[in-house]
Amino acid sequence: MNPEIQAINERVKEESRFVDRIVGEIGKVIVGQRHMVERLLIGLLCNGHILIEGVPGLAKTLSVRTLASIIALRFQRMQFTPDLLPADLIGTMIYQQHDGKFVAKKGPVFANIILADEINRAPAKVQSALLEAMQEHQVTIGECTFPLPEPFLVLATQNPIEQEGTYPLPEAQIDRFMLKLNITYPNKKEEWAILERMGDGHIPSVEVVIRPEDIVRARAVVSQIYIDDKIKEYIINLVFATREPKQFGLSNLENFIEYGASPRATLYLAQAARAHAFLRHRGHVIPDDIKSVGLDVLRHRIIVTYEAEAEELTGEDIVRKIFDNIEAP
Amino acid sequence: MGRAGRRGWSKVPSLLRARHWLIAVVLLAGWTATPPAAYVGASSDDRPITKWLPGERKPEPTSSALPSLGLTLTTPSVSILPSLATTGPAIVPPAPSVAPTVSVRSRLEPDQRRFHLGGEIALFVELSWVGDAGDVAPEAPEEPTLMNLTKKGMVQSSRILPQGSPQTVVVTYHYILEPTAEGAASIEPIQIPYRLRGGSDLLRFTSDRFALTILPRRWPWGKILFGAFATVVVLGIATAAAMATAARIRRAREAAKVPPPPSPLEQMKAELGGIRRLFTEGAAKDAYDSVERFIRKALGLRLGGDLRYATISELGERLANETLDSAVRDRAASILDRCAQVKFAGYVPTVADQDQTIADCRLLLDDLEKKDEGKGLKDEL
Repeated sequence: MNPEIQAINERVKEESRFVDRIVGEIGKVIVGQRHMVERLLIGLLCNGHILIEGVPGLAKTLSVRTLASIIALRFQRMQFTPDLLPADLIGTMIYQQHDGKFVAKKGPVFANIILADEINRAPAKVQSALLEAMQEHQVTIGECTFPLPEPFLVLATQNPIEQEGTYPLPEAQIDRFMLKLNITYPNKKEEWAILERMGDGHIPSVEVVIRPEDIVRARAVVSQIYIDDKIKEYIINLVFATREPKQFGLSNLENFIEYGASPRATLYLAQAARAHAFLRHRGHVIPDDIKSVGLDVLRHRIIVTYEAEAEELTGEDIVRKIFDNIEAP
Repeated sequence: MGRAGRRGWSKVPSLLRARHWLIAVVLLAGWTATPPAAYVGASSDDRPITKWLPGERKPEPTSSALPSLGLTLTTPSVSILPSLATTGPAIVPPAPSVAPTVSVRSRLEPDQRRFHLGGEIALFVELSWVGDAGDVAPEAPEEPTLMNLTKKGMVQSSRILPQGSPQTVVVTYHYILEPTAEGAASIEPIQIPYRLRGGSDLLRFTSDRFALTILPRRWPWGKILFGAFATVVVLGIATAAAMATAARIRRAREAAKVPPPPSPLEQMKAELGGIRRLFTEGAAKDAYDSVERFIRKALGLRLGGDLRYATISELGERLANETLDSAVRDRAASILDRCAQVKFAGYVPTVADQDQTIADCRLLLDDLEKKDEGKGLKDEL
């Protein structure tokens, strides 16, 4: 084997040991939702933010709070409402009467993990303030700019049921989220376990497994994970298929796609695949990693036409068709 | 018509017109109402019967039965004018007292006097008379006296020409004769007895005498030629069918000798040569890429479906779910893992690795082929 890749493999195996411990620790509190937990870890490792869509009561907040406890990260939950102001999010200047000076009062965004609940209920000004913080990793209050702590992860949620009186995120803003997860109900076995575990209202406690600096170190290792040219070609083919499906034998999708995925999708796909390989203790990416994260990376980046909406075709359906028709390397 | 026409018509005496019409109606009614009668006798069971003298005619519907053909011709009489007959003696037309004239005619068919041995001769003896069919009652004719001829059969028929009056009754005796020897032959006159209606005397008709000459047998060359032609045609068709069948059997035997085309798995073994060449040329990555496509194709033939779009992990899951021998499953998974290592993990295979990969591929094909044969045998059982 290539010595560099060999070294990466060894390093990944070393650094990724905490993954199983984190998953096990979260498993004490959260029943199932393995997919969401892995995606949260991918977001942390790739410095990418996550948009979660799911009905209430699926342990979204509990999962994030538990993960933050395990990694000893500061967790902040914000309920977005229509009357929210940007200052409520990022902070504001407070006048101190004793010395007559204005002091910056940092807002709840200054945490490692932010849970922005029902982001689509807040007006566009608040959404932009949060998205700017996500993008820049810093916040300006008054004349001062404050960097956000590392690692910094935003999990925004959208309620797919109640859409009245909401401010849907524009596609350009949705594109900034690395992953979009669709959380579904647990199965009967999991529901039984939930009842057994949480029926008395007592939430089990978890232990701290790693520190935030371990996550930062793991991020450096993840960025070094090897991606072969064939995998890169596979990624580019997938993204290009969302823009020009006819070239890939998917002419039947041409009328359903208004806009395909941007180059940001290509980058996020590669990063997420690396993080997925890291979670599997591998120092190289294989096509399985691409297929595993591809749906979460691409489903919210395809803008469908009215014709697709009329036929009840979503971006997820289109992505699945593309994966079924692009030959894996 | 106009006033002038009506005035002209009114000049004819109305009484005169009415009297003429009355006379005409009376005459017509008398003619149609009363049937002429001969005499009414009595039968042995005292039922009144009506017997008719020759020449008399019944006004009631006639029915003439032709004995040989069994046909019944009915000519109903229709009274156009209503009967105005009153009670009183009926008006009887005078009955004719002359017996019908019966004529006899004999003829041969064909109408010739020279016949060949082996042929048939038709003799027609016809009795005809004008009147009713019941006026003359012919009886069975005597057997004909023949020389150098034999009677094969005789058919008697009757017909009435035309329907209505006067009518002619024709009774025909059709003899079918066959020559028996060459030379002179003859048909002596045939006696046909008959009685007239109401008469007791047995009268006789006599047909003509025929002198014939019987010639030697004439071969039916037309029939012989036609038969020969038909035989040739039938034999020809049968021969052609037999030859086609023989050719088909011969072709089947030759086809059986030709070895069947190689199975897809056997054809794939030949592809391994191309992969080995890639190894020899140093294109290890391309070679392992070809190996992976090769394995996907082989597994696709065995498991069914197109496996190009499945990842290695998905292939592994598919293999785990199929009822395959564990050795086959492990060997396929091992080859695929080796391909993944070379293609995606930067693994540089040694020559030993390459040889081992080719050998494993060949063994995998053998295993898959054996499973195909076993599967076929299980189906037969």
